[in-house]
Amino acid sequence: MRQFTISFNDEIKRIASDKIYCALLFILPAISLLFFVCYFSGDSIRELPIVVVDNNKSTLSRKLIEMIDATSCARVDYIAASSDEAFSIIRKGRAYAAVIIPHSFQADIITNTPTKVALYNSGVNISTNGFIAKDIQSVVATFSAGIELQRGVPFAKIMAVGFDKHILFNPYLSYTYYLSPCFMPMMITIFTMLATAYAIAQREGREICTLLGRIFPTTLTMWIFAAIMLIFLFRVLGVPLKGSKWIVLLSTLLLVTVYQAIAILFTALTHNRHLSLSLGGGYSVLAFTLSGLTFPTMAMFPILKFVSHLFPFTFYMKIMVDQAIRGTSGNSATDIGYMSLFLLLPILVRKRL
Amino acid sequence: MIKSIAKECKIIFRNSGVVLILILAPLLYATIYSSCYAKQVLESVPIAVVDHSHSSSSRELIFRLNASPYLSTKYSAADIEEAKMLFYSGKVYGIVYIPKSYDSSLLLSEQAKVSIFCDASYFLMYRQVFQGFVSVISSINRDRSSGEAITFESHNLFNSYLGYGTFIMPAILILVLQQTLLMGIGVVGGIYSRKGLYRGGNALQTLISKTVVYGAIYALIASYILVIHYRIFGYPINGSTLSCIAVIAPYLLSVILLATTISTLFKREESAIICTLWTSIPTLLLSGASLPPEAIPHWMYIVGKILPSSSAIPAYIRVQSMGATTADVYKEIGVLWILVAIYGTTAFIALKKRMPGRTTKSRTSNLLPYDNRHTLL
Repeated sequence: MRQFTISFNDEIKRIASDKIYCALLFILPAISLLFFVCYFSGDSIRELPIVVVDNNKSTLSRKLIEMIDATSCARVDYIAASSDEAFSIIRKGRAYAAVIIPHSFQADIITNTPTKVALYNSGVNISTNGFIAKDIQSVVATFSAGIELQRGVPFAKIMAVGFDKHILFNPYLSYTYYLSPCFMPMMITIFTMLATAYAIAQREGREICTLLGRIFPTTLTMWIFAAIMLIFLFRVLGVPLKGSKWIVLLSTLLLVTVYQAIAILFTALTHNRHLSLSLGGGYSVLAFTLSGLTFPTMAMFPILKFVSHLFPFTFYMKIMVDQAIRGTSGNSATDIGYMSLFLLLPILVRKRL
Repeated sequence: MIKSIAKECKIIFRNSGVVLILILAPLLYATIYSSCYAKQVLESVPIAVVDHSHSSSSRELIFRLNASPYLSTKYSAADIEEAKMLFYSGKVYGIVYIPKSYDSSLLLSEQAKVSIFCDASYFLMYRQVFQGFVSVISSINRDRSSGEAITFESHNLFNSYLGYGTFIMPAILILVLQQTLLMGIGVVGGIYSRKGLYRGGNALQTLISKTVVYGAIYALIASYILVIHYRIFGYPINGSTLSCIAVIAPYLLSVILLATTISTLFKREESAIICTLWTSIPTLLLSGASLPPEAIPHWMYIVGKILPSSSAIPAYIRVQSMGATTADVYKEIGVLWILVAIYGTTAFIALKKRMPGRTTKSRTSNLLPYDNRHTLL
C-alpha cells in the first residue's frame, strides 16, 4: 500500500510537470466532450435540398411540387429545365435528388392513363437517400390515391393492404440518440488507452503496486470524465435513459478500467512507449466500426464477427443500446461479464511487465 | 537541398515507428475498414411473424416477406408476447402482426390492416426491415388494384444497391491519408526537437524538402489506395484521372504543410500521437460525408473548413463516385489552394522560429544540446 501511495504521489507530480500528460488527461478529453455535445445539439436531418424537373408545368404538377416541398425531409431548391441540368446540380453538390415529372402528367391524369413520377436519388450518402426516398414515395402515393378517390375508386381497391407503422426505441430517428451514446464513450476509451500507456511504458519499477499507483490517476480522471459524459449525454443532449442508470454507470466505469488493462497488455508486449501508443490508439479507434452499431456484425465476414469480440467496446455498445435506448434488460449482465474478462489480460503478460 | 531531402528520408526510414505510421498504417487501416464493409449490403434481417389469420392470403404475405432480400421470417410467434420476447432478446429486429381479420377483409373488399414494429436502435436494421416490408406491401397492393394513377419509380444514383462501403469508405480512405500524415510528420517533428535537428537548418530548404519527401511518399500511397485498393474493393470509379489529381494534389500539399506547422510544436514523438490520434472521428464528422451538412451546426461546419479533409472528402466523392468534373468542384479545389497558401506561410514561419539561422547558431552554442523554447507539447 505504501508503494502504491508513493508511486501515486510521484505520478501526480509528473502530471503537474508534464504538459502533454496534463493535456492528455484534462484538456483533450474536455475538448472532445464539448465537440460532441455541440455537434449533436444540431438539427435532425430535414429540409434536404432537391431539384425538380417539371416537364409538364401544369396546375397538377405544381400541386405535386408544393406537396414535395412541404415534406419535412425534402425542400425543393431548384427547378431544372432538363434531367441533364438536374444531374449537373446534384454533381455540384447543391441537391441530393431529382424528381422528374413527365410532359404528359396532367393530360394522362385527366384521360385516365397511367403516368409516372421518377425519383433519381443520390446513393453516395445512404442517410439522405433513405429520408428523401421515404418522404417522396409517400407524397406520390398520397397524390395518386387522391386522384383515384376522385375517380370514384374505392379506397380498399387503391390500397388493399394498409399498415400501422411502429418505430420502436427511437421514433424520431434521431442521430443524436443513435450515435452519441457510443461515440462519446469511445473518445473516453481513446484517452484512457493513451494515458495509461503513457503512464507506464518505458519506465523503471514494475512491481504491481507501483504500476497500479501510476495508472490510478488516469483511472480517477477518466472515471470523472465518464460520469460528466453521462450527465452531458442524458441531461444536456436529452438521450433517453430507459433502463438502469446504475448499470450504465457501472459499465462505463468498467469500460475505462478494462481499457487500462488492455493498455497494460500492449505496453508489456511492446516495451516501447511510441509503439504502445500507436497500437493502443489504433485499437481504440477501430472498436467503433467493429462494434456493429452502424454496419451490423451479422453482415460482416465471419472472421470479423469473431474479431469484434476482441473489443470490449462491442459489449459496451450492446449494454448502452439495451439500457439507454431500448430500456430492456437484454443480456447486460452477460455483456458486463464478457467485458470483465478483459481485466484478466495483464495476468497473461505479468512476466513481461 | 539534396542533403536536406536525404536527411528527412534518413529520419523516416531509420525509425520503425515513423514507417509504421506513415506507410503501414494507411495501408492497414484502408484494408481493415474496407474488409469490415466488404459485404456492402445487410441482407436477411431476422423478423418474427405473428399470424393470427392462418389463411392462404397471410401465407402468401409471409412467403413474399421471406422472399425479400432484406428480410428473413426466421421466427413464427404464437402471439405478440412471444414475438416481444424474441425482439427484446435481440433475436429479431422487427415484428409483423397479421390480424385474424386479414383474409376476410380482403375477401369483403375492405382494407386489410397489418402492423409492423421496427427496431430503430440500429438504423441499418430499421431501414432494411422497413424497406423490405413496404416493398412487399406495395407489390401486393399493385397486384390487387386496377392500376395506380401515378406510378412511382425510384432510382438510386451512383450507388445503386446502396452499399454501406461505397457510401462511407471513400470518405474514410481520404481521411486516413490526412490523419496518418498529421501523425507521421508530427512524430518526425518530435524527433527533430528531441535530437536538436532544427538547429542550424534553413527554414525554406527544410520546408521544401519536407514537402518533396512526404509529397512523393504520399503520391505513391494515395495512388495505391485510390486506384488499386479502390478496384480491389469495387468502389465507384467514375471520375477522370485529371479531376482526381486536381483534388488530391492540393489536398496532400495542404495536409503536409498543416502537419509541418503543427509538428514544430512537438517536443517528443509521443506528443504527436497523443495530439492527433483522437481527432479522426471528429474530423470525419465535420466533413459532412457521414451526417450531411444540414444536420451539423452551421458554425461547426464552417469552422471545420480549416481542415483540408472537409473540402477534399466531398470533392473527391463527387468526382469519383458521381463523375463530377473539375469545374463542378472548383469551390472545394479553391478552398484547398487557399489552405495551401495559409499553411505554407504558417509552416515557413513556424520552421523559421525553430531555425533561427546560422548567425544565431553561434550565439546559442552555449545553450543546452537542443533548444525547445518554441515547443509547446
